[in-house]
Amino acid sequence: MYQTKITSQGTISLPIALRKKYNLTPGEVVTVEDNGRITLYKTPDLSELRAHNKSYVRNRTSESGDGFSAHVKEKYGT
Amino acid sequence: MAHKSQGSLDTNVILRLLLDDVPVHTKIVDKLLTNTAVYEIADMALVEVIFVLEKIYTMPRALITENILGIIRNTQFNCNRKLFERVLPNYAANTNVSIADCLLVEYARLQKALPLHTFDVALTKSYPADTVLLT
Repeated sequence: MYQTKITSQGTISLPIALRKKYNLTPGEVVTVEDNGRITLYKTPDLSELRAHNKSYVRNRTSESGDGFSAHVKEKYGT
Repeated sequence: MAHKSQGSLDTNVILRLLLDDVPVHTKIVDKLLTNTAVYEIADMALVEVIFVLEKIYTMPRALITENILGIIRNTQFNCNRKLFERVLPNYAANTNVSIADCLLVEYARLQKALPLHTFDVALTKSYPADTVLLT
Protein backbone atom coordinates (compact mmCIF):
# COMPACT_ATOMS: atom_id res chain seq x y z
CA MET A 1 0.00 0.00 0.00
CA TYR A 2 1.30 3.43 -0.95
CA GLN A 3 0.25 6.96 -0.06
CA THR A 4 0.59 9.97 -2.30
CA LYS A 5 -0.51 13.58 -1.86
CA ILE A 6 -2.85 15.44 -4.23
CA THR A 7 -1.50 18.87 -5.20
CA SER A 8 -3.65 21.99 -5.57
CA GLN A 9 -3.59 21.27 -9.33
CA GLY A 10 -5.09 17.84 -8.71
CA THR A 11 -1.98 15.95 -9.75
CA ILE A 12 -0.44 13.03 -7.89
CA SER A 13 2.93 11.33 -8.11
CA LEU A 14 3.04 7.59 -8.55
CA PRO A 15 5.56 5.92 -6.27
CA ILE A 16 8.71 4.91 -8.14
CA ALA A 17 8.30 1.27 -7.09
CA LEU A 18 4.96 1.11 -8.96
CA ARG A 19 6.29 2.95 -11.99
CA LYS A 20 9.09 0.42 -12.21
CA LYS A 21 6.86 -2.57 -11.54
CA TYR A 22 4.34 -1.61 -14.24
CA ASN A 23 6.89 -0.08 -16.59
CA LEU A 24 5.17 3.31 -16.56
CA THR A 25 7.22 5.88 -18.37
CA PRO A 26 6.91 9.70 -18.55
CA GLY A 27 4.37 10.85 -21.13
CA GLU A 28 2.52 7.55 -21.08
CA VAL A 29 -1.27 7.78 -20.88
CA VAL A 30 -3.09 5.92 -18.12
CA THR A 31 -6.79 5.28 -17.71
CA VAL A 32 -8.58 6.42 -14.55
CA GLU A 33 -11.83 4.61 -13.79
CA ASP A 34 -14.47 5.60 -11.27
CA ASN A 35 -15.99 2.32 -10.13
CA GLY A 36 -16.82 3.29 -6.58
CA ARG A 37 -13.07 3.35 -6.02
CA ILE A 38 -10.56 5.02 -8.26
CA THR A 39 -8.73 2.47 -10.37
CA LEU A 40 -5.72 3.35 -12.48
CA TYR A 41 -5.01 1.20 -15.53
CA LYS A 42 -2.03 1.18 -17.78
CA THR A 43 -3.71 2.01 -21.08
CA PRO A 44 -3.31 -1.03 -23.32
CA ASP A 45 -1.03 -0.61 -26.26
CA LEU A 46 -2.82 -1.89 -29.34
CA SER A 47 0.32 -2.23 -31.44
CA GLU A 48 1.87 -4.40 -28.71
CA LEU A 49 -1.20 -6.65 -28.72
CA ARG A 50 -1.13 -6.93 -32.51
CA ALA A 51 2.54 -7.93 -32.40
CA HIS A 52 1.76 -10.67 -29.84
CA ASN A 53 -1.19 -11.86 -31.93
CA LYS A 54 0.77 -12.09 -35.17
CA SER A 55 1.87 -15.73 -34.80
CA TYR A 56 -1.72 -16.81 -34.07
CA VAL A 57 -3.01 -15.14 -37.22
CA ARG A 58 -0.97 -17.73 -39.12
CA ASN A 59 -2.57 -20.46 -36.95
CA ARG A 60 -6.05 -19.72 -38.26
CA THR A 61 -7.82 -23.05 -38.67
CA SER A 62 -9.92 -23.89 -41.70
CA GLU A 63 -12.97 -23.84 -39.45
CA SER A 64 -15.64 -21.86 -41.21
CA GLY A 65 -18.51 -19.91 -39.70
CA ASP A 66 -18.66 -17.84 -36.57
CA GLY A 67 -17.14 -18.33 -33.15
CA PHE A 68 -20.40 -19.48 -31.57
CA SER A 69 -20.78 -22.29 -34.13
CA ALA A 70 -17.20 -23.46 -33.52
CA HIS A 71 -17.91 -23.54 -29.79
CA VAL A 72 -21.23 -25.36 -30.18
CA LYS A 73 -19.64 -27.89 -32.55
CA GLU A 74 -16.84 -28.61 -30.08
CA LYS A 75 -19.01 -28.75 -26.99
CA TYR A 76 -22.14 -30.42 -28.34
CA GLY A 77 -20.75 -32.16 -31.42
CA THR A 78 -23.39 -30.90 -33.84
CA MET B 1 -17.47 7.61 -19.08
CA ALA B 2 -19.26 10.85 -19.90
CA HIS B 3 -18.99 10.82 -23.70
CA LYS B 4 -22.01 10.00 -25.80
CA SER B 5 -21.61 6.87 -27.91
CA GLN B 6 -21.17 7.36 -31.63
CA GLY B 7 -22.35 3.85 -32.43
CA SER B 8 -21.48 0.25 -31.71
CA LEU B 9 -18.86 -2.20 -32.93
CA ASP B 10 -19.51 -5.74 -34.09
CA THR B 11 -17.34 -8.84 -33.66
CA ASN B 12 -15.49 -8.53 -36.96
CA VAL B 13 -14.53 -4.93 -36.33
CA ILE B 14 -13.01 -5.87 -32.97
CA LEU B 15 -11.22 -8.87 -34.50
CA ARG B 16 -9.67 -6.76 -37.28
CA LEU B 17 -8.66 -4.18 -34.69
CA LEU B 18 -6.85 -6.80 -32.61
CA LEU B 19 -5.45 -9.06 -35.30
CA ASP B 20 -4.58 -6.79 -38.22
CA ASP B 21 -5.01 -9.85 -40.46
CA VAL B 22 -7.07 -8.09 -43.12
CA PRO B 23 -5.01 -4.90 -43.55
CA VAL B 24 -7.65 -3.09 -45.61
CA HIS B 25 -10.23 -3.60 -42.88
CA THR B 26 -7.82 -2.80 -40.06
CA LYS B 27 -7.00 0.48 -41.78
CA ILE B 28 -10.71 1.35 -41.89
CA VAL B 29 -11.14 0.47 -38.20
CA ASP B 30 -8.06 2.47 -37.22
CA LYS B 31 -9.45 5.45 -39.15
CA LEU B 32 -12.82 5.09 -37.39
CA LEU B 33 -11.07 5.21 -34.03
CA THR B 34 -8.76 8.15 -34.73
CA ASN B 35 -11.30 10.60 -33.31
CA THR B 36 -12.28 10.76 -29.66
CA ALA B 37 -15.69 9.18 -30.19
CA VAL B 38 -16.85 6.42 -27.87
CA TYR B 39 -18.29 3.19 -29.22
CA GLU B 40 -20.49 0.61 -27.50
CA ILE B 41 -19.47 -3.04 -27.43
CA ALA B 42 -22.14 -5.56 -26.44
CA ASP B 43 -21.36 -8.55 -24.19
CA MET B 44 -22.32 -10.80 -27.10
CA ALA B 45 -19.65 -9.27 -29.36
CA LEU B 46 -16.94 -9.76 -26.73
CA VAL B 47 -18.01 -13.36 -26.16
CA GLU B 48 -17.89 -14.09 -29.89
CA VAL B 49 -14.43 -12.47 -30.16
CA ILE B 50 -13.27 -14.80 -27.39
CA PHE B 51 -14.72 -17.88 -29.14
CA VAL B 52 -13.13 -16.91 -32.45
CA LEU B 53 -9.70 -16.27 -30.93
CA GLU B 54 -9.87 -19.54 -29.01
CA LYS B 55 -11.43 -21.91 -31.54
CA ILE B 56 -10.40 -20.46 -34.89
CA TYR B 57 -7.06 -18.80 -34.11
CA THR B 58 -6.16 -21.33 -31.34
CA MET B 59 -4.91 -18.55 -29.12
CA PRO B 60 -4.07 -19.42 -25.48
CA ARG B 61 -6.46 -18.12 -22.86
CA ALA B 62 -3.84 -15.92 -21.22
CA LEU B 63 -3.32 -13.99 -24.46
CA ILE B 64 -7.06 -13.87 -25.17
CA THR B 65 -7.53 -12.38 -21.70
CA GLU B 66 -4.85 -9.78 -22.43
CA ASN B 67 -6.63 -8.87 -25.68
CA ILE B 68 -10.04 -8.50 -24.07
CA LEU B 69 -8.59 -6.45 -21.22
CA GLY B 70 -7.01 -4.30 -23.92
CA ILE B 71 -10.49 -3.63 -25.27
CA ILE B 72 -12.45 -3.19 -22.07
CA ARG B 73 -9.83 -0.92 -20.47
CA ASN B 74 -9.76 1.34 -23.50
CA THR B 75 -11.76 4.46 -22.71
CA GLN B 76 -12.92 4.68 -26.32
CA PHE B 77 -15.15 1.68 -25.73
CA ASN B 78 -18.22 1.42 -23.54
CA CYS B 79 -18.91 -2.12 -22.40
CA ASN B 80 -19.78 -4.26 -19.40
CA ARG B 81 -16.39 -3.71 -17.74
CA LYS B 82 -17.42 -4.90 -14.30
CA LEU B 83 -18.66 -8.25 -15.59
CA PHE B 84 -15.67 -8.96 -17.83
CA GLU B 85 -13.07 -7.79 -15.29
CA ARG B 86 -14.59 -10.32 -12.89
CA VAL B 87 -14.99 -13.17 -15.35
CA LEU B 88 -11.68 -13.05 -17.24
CA PRO B 89 -9.41 -14.32 -14.43
CA ASN B 90 -11.74 -17.33 -14.01
CA TYR B 91 -11.83 -17.93 -17.75
CA ALA B 92 -8.01 -17.85 -17.93
CA ALA B 93 -7.64 -20.20 -14.97
CA ASN B 94 -10.36 -22.77 -15.78
CA THR B 95 -9.47 -24.22 -19.17
CA ASN B 96 -12.20 -26.88 -18.87
CA VAL B 97 -14.94 -24.28 -18.79
CA SER B 98 -16.00 -22.07 -21.70
CA ILE B 99 -16.35 -18.30 -21.50
CA ALA B 100 -20.13 -18.79 -21.80
CA ASP B 101 -20.17 -20.95 -18.68
CA CYS B 102 -17.85 -18.61 -16.78
CA LEU B 103 -20.25 -15.77 -17.64
CA LEU B 104 -23.28 -17.76 -16.50
CA VAL B 105 -21.71 -18.24 -13.08
CA GLU B 106 -20.74 -14.59 -12.86
CA TYR B 107 -24.25 -13.45 -13.87
CA ALA B 108 -25.69 -15.70 -11.17
CA ARG B 109 -23.28 -14.22 -8.62
CA LEU B 110 -24.05 -10.64 -9.60
CA GLN B 111 -27.79 -11.31 -9.62
CA LYS B 112 -27.47 -13.07 -6.26
CA ALA B 113 -29.18 -16.02 -7.93
CA LEU B 114 -26.94 -18.88 -6.89
CA PRO B 115 -26.61 -21.79 -7.22
CA LEU B 116 -26.45 -22.27 -10.96
CA HIS B 117 -28.21 -25.54 -11.83
CA THR B 118 -26.46 -27.53 -14.53
CA PHE B 119 -25.82 -30.95 -16.08
CA ASP B 120 -22.24 -29.92 -16.85
CA VAL B 121 -19.83 -31.89 -14.63
CA ALA B 122 -16.80 -29.80 -15.66
CA LEU B 123 -18.63 -26.64 -14.64
CA THR B 124 -19.50 -28.00 -11.20
CA LYS B 125 -15.89 -29.11 -10.68
CA SER B 126 -14.59 -25.63 -11.53
CA TYR B 127 -17.22 -23.81 -9.47
CA PRO B 128 -18.21 -26.25 -6.70
CA ALA B 129 -19.48 -23.51 -4.38
CA ASP B 130 -21.64 -21.82 -6.99
CA THR B 131 -23.20 -24.71 -8.92
CA VAL B 132 -25.42 -27.72 -8.38
CA LEU B 133 -25.13 -30.78 -10.60
CA LEU B 134 -28.55 -32.02 -11.68
CA THR B 135 -28.74 -35.81 -11.71
